[in-house]
Amino acid sequence: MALLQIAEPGQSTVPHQHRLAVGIDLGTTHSLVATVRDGLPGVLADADGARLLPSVVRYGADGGVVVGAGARAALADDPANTIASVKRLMGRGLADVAVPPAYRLLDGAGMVQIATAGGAKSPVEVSADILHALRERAEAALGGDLLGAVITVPAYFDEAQREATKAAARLAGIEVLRLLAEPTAAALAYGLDRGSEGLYAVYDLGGGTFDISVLRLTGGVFEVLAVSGDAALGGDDFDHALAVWLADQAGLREPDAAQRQALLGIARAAKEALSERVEVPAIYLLPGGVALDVTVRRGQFEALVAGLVDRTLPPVRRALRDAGVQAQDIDGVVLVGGATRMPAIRAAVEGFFGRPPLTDLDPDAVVAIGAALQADALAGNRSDDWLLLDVIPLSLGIETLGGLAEKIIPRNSTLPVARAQDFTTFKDGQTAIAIQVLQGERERADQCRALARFELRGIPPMPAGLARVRVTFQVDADGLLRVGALEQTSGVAAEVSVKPAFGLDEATIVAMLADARAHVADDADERRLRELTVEGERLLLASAAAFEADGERLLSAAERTTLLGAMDALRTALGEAHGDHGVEAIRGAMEALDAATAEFAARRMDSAVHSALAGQHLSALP
Amino acid sequence: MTADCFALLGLPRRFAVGRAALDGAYRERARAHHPDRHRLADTATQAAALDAATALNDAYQTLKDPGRRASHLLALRGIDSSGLRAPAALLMQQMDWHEALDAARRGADAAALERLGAELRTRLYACTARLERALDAEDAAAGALLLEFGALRRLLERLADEEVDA
Repeated sequence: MALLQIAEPGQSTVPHQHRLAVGIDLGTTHSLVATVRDGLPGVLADADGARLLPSVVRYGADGGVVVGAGARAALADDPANTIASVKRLMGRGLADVAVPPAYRLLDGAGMVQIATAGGAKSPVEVSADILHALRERAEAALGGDLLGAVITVPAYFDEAQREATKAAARLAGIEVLRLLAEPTAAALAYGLDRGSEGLYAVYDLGGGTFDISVLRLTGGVFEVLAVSGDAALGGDDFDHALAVWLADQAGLREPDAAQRQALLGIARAAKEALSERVEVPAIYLLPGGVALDVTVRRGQFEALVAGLVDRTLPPVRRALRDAGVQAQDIDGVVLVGGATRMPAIRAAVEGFFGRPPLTDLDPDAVVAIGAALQADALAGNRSDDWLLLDVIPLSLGIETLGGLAEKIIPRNSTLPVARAQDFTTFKDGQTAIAIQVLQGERERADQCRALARFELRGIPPMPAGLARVRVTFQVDADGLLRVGALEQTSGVAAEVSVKPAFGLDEATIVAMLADARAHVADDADERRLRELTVEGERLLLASAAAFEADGERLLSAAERTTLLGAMDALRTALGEAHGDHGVEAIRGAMEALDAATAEFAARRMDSAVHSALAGQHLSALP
Repeated sequence: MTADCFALLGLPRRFAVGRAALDGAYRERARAHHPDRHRLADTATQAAALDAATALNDAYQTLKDPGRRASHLLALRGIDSSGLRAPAALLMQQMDWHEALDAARRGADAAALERLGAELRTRLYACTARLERALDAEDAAAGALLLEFGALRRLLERLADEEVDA
């Protein structure tokens, strides 16, 4: 952290020192990393020139992890161990999963887990593997360690989903400069691009989430007025709808996992092609030898997904209502997310707002670009004066007696925001209070999302109803909740412990971090062991060859026994080698063999010189 | 003790607040205090920025909303508006409006809903004007007017919900 403290904001102690900061769009179907170089934002490509990293991770039984295109290529062959669309599982329980993925989810309390050949994986760990790949890409491209990153999240992500995202960054060794709402990032990219002022709507249909944000841009301040959306609606659902229809066309009543994956891939390709053409042929041989031979027409596809397109409109109306504006007040509609390339979406948006949407920036890259701009500003690399004011997307409340939800922080409150609430004890001498924190708009606690259970301890014992514990619910600029408690009459700060409902508690994250560090150490040991094994084998081979050639001639019987013993010892060490212990064993055996052969090597050298010189005249020597 | 939102934003303490002046005052202060401005600072500075930005956001939201602004003006005078009791006449009037709303909704009568909305908006407009006069004159009637104002706004919100869900 010393690096973070050398300078006051805005003033660098080292002139022109450029701090490496990136923007990361951690998407459902693909992820991007972007940065600002020489004042210009740009997406960083991998060694092959690819900008989009498929958000797919494959776990092997040998502990191997493949991220990106390599993993996506394995989706059909190894659906059980190849994790796609993990973003939909972030901060979610098993019961929340509407469309079952091709991989196996484990039942249990809290955040859902995924069974893979590499062991049970939390969505946080899978996301961390994606982030890690992006970090490596960025550090390779920029040639240095990152100061930190701005990571975007759907505006409609609740607190548990945001916490999960931040935990993933932590596991990947990335310092989070800010969790930024995706539409706000897009608005920044557009707004700065055009120097715009006025009211903007950002319609963001990603792979797995739908967000609508209404923003006001004034003098460099991007103020989110209202957000709404559907955290379980995205391009994936369009693929799914088409895949179901394709399965029907192929006469498949119950496709297996491999067939489902293949159909999803075909559906996605057809969907994308239908944005450019009015019909596409889909002729494939599916796994299991099932033939698919059909032409998909745009009209047909649009009829299949009309319900999905319609589902985006009530959130749009709600956001406008919450912002207190009418559709005709909007000065520009920005489209974000690959799914907004679909003509049906563009038509629906144009129909609703009565104006064609803005599409001049690449909808895949615009969020990452905006995040990169903000990362650059937070890292203190630029003096521009813009400010991004995000809001809390869903009301925060607590469960009251009788299972009702009492709202404490209303949705669309500008962040950061805090509210204090007083609680008391109902038993004499009671020293602890439990508070269930909820997020959502519904009346009943069980209809809202349980975020966490806070336990306040260390309240001084006093008669029932006398203690007055003021609990402060603080939501920071990232949309993350912190709870503090103070007993008012005694001034004693109550101790707060958190049990997240769908997140990972601190102990779990710390354990994962330790595990990750151990793996890093394992990896280094592994490499050392491999290198040493190669050296050891080389030494063994050379010794054996020398022994074969000159052992009888140059060594006594006792010397031969010693040498053979040392060679045997090294052979054993190489054969049994594993882990840290192996490294030491091999090194010891190599040193012993080296010592045992030192005299032999000297004699061989002498002997070689002798035989080279034998029979030559002195005059022939140089 | 109630923090004075007007003082925090450098605005005169009265009900009528120019939206442009309020927005401008907020933006100017948000630029200085927002945590994003202090991301690389030490922990204490970051914590102070979080507190300052939180207080500023609260003041802005309080003054932006006329109902919360009126409650805040009363609170600054030591009157807790959550302890106010509605007069019987207002309660009767509220029941009538709720019945009208329910009847129009049951009958899916768009014209009746529209009529009711127009009436409620007119009354809200008149009520706001009276509330402003009472608050600025420190008239005791302000409390009852604030209750009427709140009731009208809740009804209009219910109506708006109908339209969104329709």
